Amino acid sequence: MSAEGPIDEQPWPEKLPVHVVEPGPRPRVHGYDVQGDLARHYGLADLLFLSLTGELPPEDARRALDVCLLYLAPVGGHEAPVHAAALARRCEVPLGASLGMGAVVLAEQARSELEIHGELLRMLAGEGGPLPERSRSVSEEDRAAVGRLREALQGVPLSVPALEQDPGLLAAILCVLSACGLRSRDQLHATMLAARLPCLAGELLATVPGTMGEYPIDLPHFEYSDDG
Amino acid sequence: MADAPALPTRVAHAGWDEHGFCGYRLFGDLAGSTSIWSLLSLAGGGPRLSAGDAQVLDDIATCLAVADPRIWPLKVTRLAAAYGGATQAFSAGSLFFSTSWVGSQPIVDAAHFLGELRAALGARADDPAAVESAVRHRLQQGQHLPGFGVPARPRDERVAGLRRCLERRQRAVGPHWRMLETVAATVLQEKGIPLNIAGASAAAILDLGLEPGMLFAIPIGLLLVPFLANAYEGGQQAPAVLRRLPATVVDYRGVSPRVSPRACGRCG
Repeated sequence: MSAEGPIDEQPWPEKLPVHVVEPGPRPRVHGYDVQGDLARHYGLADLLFLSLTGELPPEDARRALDVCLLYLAPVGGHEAPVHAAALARRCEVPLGASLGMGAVVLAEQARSELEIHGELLRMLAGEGGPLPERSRSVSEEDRAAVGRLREALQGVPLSVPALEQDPGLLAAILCVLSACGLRSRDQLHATMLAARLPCLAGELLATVPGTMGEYPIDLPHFEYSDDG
Repeated sequence: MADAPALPTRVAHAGWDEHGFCGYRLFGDLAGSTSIWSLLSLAGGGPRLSAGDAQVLDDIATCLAVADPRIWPLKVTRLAAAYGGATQAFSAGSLFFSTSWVGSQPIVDAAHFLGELRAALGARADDPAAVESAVRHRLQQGQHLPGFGVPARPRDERVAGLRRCLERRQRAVGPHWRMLETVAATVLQEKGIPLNIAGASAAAILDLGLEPGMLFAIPIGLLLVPFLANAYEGGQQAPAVLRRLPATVVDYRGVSPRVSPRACGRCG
């Protein structure tokens, strides 16, 4: 059998193209020296924004970015990403694998949420128009949460007109992030995942491996139908 | 438990001495007489498959076992295995099953195309002239036909391999396979694009009696071997070169070195 094949006989690039981190003893992110510059003058939210957009956040958007990341963060043990990962951890799946599993489901959660707000994302991307019905507040609890978001943003010099149109909480957060400069669906997707990882990791660290007996295995109940 | 309503499942129930699986008794009906392909078919909502059907799926899986670690999904598996975790590597690589570009999903997409074409043609689905006309019409409209095209080579050698297997088993006679031969000849003539293994696999699977909507589990099962082989060897090797490529082979295309506004401000 020949040792040659289509991969061997075609010309391919000889170097790996990379775009964000310039490798070396003093790594740079989008051109900024991490150890001598970013670590001295900026925080993790800035790094997230820089990584996703290629630029540091405008000074007037930094506080709003922090607020939004905190508002996005609390993904609880009752939600599928943390529930799945913590169950795995309880069943003695290694922490790293549990974290990876949780990250996959967190990404799915964010994808699903962004799909619901697809019309809003198109509006934010420049198509304009009124706040879509699916992105409006659906309960008094939701309205109250948006009210608290607005309070947290008081004094932040950022114009977010959609906040006046009774958005739901996630829609409001997406509108603020967009005003900060995170406008594309992909940027928002990555931001949601990054914001939620800490709480997921925390729940995994609080979960004791080998305690399957404490897990409510029949919640919710599955009703088997044997008609195939 | 009204706050957490029960969920219906057709998959399974764990009993004491017997278990239910997709409408069958695990020991009473399935164990000892069922292939893994039949179980995968049931898992996807399909029918039980015969031993002859399972041999066809064995043939497809073998023809799909092109496991060169340089092939993109398998390279991802190797990279994920670089720290020694074969299971994690398999899990990471298996996310390739979520794209329509490579992996199992192209088989599903091709099956939907073939099923939709047969439905559109109705009673004329077995008439080569009608099939050819329908395909030409779609190509003229600029439609993308799933199951065609192969990277880095002029034709997909796996199709020829699978065709030989099916002919030996006298299985290259089903309605989807025969229709596909006409579709492939037309696409090649009109566009110069060859049939690929996803299209060929889809036709062979549909001829087993499965509907396109039942094709979730079997295509993934068909592709497990290349991923598992690379996850295993990759985990065993855990090579340093995959953990971090030498800087000399990295082409940084990002922003040139610059100083942040705050550092500039402090500089005065």
